[in-house]
Amino acid sequence: MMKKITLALAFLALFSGINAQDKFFTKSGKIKFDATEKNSPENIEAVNKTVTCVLDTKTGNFQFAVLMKGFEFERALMQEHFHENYMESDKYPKSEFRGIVANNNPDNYTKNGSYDVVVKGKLTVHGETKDIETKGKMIVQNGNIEATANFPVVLADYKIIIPQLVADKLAKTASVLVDCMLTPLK
Amino acid sequence: MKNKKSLILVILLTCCFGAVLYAVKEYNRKPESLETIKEDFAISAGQLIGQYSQEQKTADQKFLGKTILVKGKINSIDITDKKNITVVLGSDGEPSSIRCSIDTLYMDKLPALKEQDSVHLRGVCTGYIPDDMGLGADIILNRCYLTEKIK
Repeated sequence: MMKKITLALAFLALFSGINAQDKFFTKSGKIKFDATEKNSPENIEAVNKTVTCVLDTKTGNFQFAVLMKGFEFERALMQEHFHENYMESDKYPKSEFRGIVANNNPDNYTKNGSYDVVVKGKLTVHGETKDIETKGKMIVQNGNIEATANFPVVLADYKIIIPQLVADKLAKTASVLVDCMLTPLK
Repeated sequence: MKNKKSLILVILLTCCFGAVLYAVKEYNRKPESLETIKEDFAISAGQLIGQYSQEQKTADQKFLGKTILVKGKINSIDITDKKNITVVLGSDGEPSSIRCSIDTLYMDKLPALKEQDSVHLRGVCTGYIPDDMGLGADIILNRCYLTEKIK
């Protein structure tokens, strides 16, 4: 009986070990947000360097979460307006994406190379969830994966209201660049 | 009468100049450095983790966007690149930790740190990421400065 339990536990440990090796993650990923209106002299850009991101190379499941207060601007006033007036970061402190790599191929992650991917899923920003689909890249190098994607976010889709006064400075569609260097989860 | 009008004009122009000067200064204002700013809260890593683990919403109301001086032991140091260093406070085996992202302006002055060093770090709390990805829960502090390193 004891032998069977030990065997079962060993199998479970081995099985969970395999699962962990399929997962790659970071807690220091980067997201750049750019809502600069064309021809505007004012750059409305912010960066967040504390993105948590996980990829299951076996299933293609892909998720990231980002805390809104972690977006930093060069100018304090812009940062205050972003958090207080537009994103309401106290009310909606977190944004996240939950989706899947549609053309996932587990074999790609075992050898160095750059692979084009299509990512589909649900993006939640400002308390609103929308389906999105975007192209991205997975660059595999020495056992790590750099996941990058650049996609547009229509601010109105997420009920982010831009006052008329700054409408000529702020783009209606922001560009979001995700850049995460994923390492194996041990 | 003429003198009175001139005086009013001078006062008006001074006010306008002052307003423009204030607007320009305010527009160009940089986020305040945490090197010298006084913290809103001073708390141990264990207490901060405890408050977030107990009730996230209440902890967010108290700490979100506030400057916190957190005291604890370094569990690990994540170096993504030269401009992205995170000091992780907490203990092995605990499901939660505090991730202190070091201010890029402070990188060059950051002394050598290693695991198990006791430190005091000042940063802005940007919130809590619960453990819904199987990676453990994290409290995030941004723009962190090391205020003290205890051997």
